[in-house]
Amino acid sequence: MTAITREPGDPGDSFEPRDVEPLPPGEIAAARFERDKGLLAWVTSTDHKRIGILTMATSLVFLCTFGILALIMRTQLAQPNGKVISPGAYNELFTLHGSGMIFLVLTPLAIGLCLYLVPLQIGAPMVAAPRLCLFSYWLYVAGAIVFLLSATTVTAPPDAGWYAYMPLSDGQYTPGVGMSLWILASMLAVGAMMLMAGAVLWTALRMRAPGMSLMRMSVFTWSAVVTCLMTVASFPSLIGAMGLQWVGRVDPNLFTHDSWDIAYQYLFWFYGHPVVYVMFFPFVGCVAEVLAAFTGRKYFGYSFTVYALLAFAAGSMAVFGHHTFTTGQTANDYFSVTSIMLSVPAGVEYFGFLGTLMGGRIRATVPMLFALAFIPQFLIGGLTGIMLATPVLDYHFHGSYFVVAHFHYTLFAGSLFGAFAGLYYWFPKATGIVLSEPLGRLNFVLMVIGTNVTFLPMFFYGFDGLPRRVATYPAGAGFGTLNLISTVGAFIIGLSVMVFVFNLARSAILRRPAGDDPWGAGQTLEWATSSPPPRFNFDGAHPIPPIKSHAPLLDLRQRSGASSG
Amino acid sequence: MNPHAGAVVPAGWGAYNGLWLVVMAGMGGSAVNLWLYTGAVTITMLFACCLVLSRWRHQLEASRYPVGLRGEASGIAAGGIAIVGLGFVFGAWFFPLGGAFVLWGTALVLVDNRSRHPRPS
Ligand code: HEM
Ligand SMILES: [Cu+2]
Repeated sequence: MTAITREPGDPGDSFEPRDVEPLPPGEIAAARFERDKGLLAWVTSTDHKRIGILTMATSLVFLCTFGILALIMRTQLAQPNGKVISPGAYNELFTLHGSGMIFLVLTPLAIGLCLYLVPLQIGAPMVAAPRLCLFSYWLYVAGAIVFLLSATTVTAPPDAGWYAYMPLSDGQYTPGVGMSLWILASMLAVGAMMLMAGAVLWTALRMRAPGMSLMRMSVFTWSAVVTCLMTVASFPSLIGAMGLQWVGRVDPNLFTHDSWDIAYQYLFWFYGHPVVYVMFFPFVGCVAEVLAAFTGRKYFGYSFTVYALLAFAAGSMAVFGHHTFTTGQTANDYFSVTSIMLSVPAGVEYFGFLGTLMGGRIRATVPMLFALAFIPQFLIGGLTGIMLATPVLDYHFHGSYFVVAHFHYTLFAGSLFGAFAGLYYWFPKATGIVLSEPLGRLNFVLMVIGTNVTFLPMFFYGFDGLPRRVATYPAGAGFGTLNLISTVGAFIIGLSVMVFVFNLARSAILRRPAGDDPWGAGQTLEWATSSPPPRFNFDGAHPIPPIKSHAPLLDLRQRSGASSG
Repeated sequence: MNPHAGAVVPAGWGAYNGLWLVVMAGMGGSAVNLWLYTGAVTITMLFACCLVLSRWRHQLEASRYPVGLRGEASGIAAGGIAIVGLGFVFGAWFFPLGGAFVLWGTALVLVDNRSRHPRPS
């Protein structure tokens, strides 16, 4: 045993005080750190920041891909008796769009953001299992490739919807390799995110900087922790479901047995409900941080929010049965109670949002605009969710466009707006260059208009009885006008995404440098280091500041403000 | 700071889920429901246990541990797994091919582990 050393910036309360065997001189130099330039360096890097950025960038490419499929669907639905695509093709499109958005877009975007930010926000030099994280990224990419392969199987692309119920998806009704490849793709992509989330969770719980106690972790980091808890606990169920699906495709009789006929649905939704929270919590975290930063206040009701997040996440594990209310085989009372109870922690969360806003000096930056729009829009998604969680009402809504409207308000008007708030907020930190604010505002305005014009009418024609997953509807049924409005809205969304892409491209060319804290508002550790941060996040020039609360940088600013003024 | 603080999070969360599991049993959750939920609670509890155990192990090993800087291994192994998966769709001849990639990736990891890098600070 040799001397106990403790340098500033030493990773992790959990490592203190630690015994360090002195390294033979020269070994540090010999230790092969990575190449750092070029494409190969990027895609083989075990730097959590690079893996995180790769994951998010890949998911954004797929956002555009599967968004284009949505535009094709909306074109078909613009008028009654649409003839743009065949009913069969429509089935394929909504399957690829829906499952792609969930498996390949929003989940990886959420977990990738956690991977990028959590080590920075807790003052860790790296993620806990860097090779595992990179392995996850490549598993995700492999899943995506298999997914695209399934889409291009001319004989039989998958067309059984994103939850692929039996017997529709079995070997008899959906023969061919397309569906089989889809199953493999979902296993790979979901398994990948499960591993990545495990590493992030481990990092947050084990590698915090000295002083970074649990109750000093940022709201975003807490949202990441609960996200990863849900991921680790629920994603294995999907792998089981898909395995069962696989067996069912080989032997369709499996699902005629009493014990299995509905088991697939349970396995699926045991993953399927928590995953919608996985695709949402990190973005709640984004909104919370952005609100705090641009009101210049400490996040309101921090500890209540933390406990609410934990309870919310636990609750989300216990509500999966609300997807099977109408099967008559589910304990509806239990699942209705648990589902409706989720509005309690959700209410606490909203309390935190509003409390932070109240009395703050609001700076309407682009991230702030997205965060502000998130609040009412997600509320619409959430409140209609309570309606759906009421079995008597769900018998009416089930399988209608009301459901489509509900989950697009949560996933698109909610999660994706939170994601954009986060993307605009942390982009300068991650890249060292700034995005254009005027273009960002244009992006924002178009997206708010497009989102509401597209999805709000869906509540009404859904309520009036237009079923989801139908390729068209008859003239004279009264669905025409509102559907046309939805389609116009969808193209406005498309336009707003193009503005976003243009904004990215323009910044990449102009390369206007961002300072360490370009917003002058950062409260959490990542804003103390350089933009982009060094390989191990903090270094001599950018040490970890003292951590006395969940907003250490705000503390510093206030202290220096107090002493100078 | 409590050294085991981190483990409290998954342990507490798992226990809280356990409570809902009991309520579910009381309110007529079906067998599959109960098994699934029990499985999830078990996984969280195991995660908590690993956190506790790893701390003890870590104290013994101090700070020299492989930080895993060789990224190639990850890509190769992931590709291998996908190829093995394709074997289930297209036929068993994919298995040896995918298996070879997985072995290759694993070998690279082992090599990397042997040159134990110092923890960056
Ligand atoms: C440009 C924006 C979008 C438009 C216009 C759009 C439109 C649509 C349409 C027309 C459907 C088919 C409804 C049906 O026939 O049942 C659909 C389904 C779906 N969408 Fe979107 N969508 C958009 C973005 C998103 C995003 C960001 C997500 C995020 C996860 C998403 C998730 C889903 C899911 C899960 C389904 C269900 C697929 C299924 O029934 O299996 N969508 N969307
Ligand atoms: Cu649900």
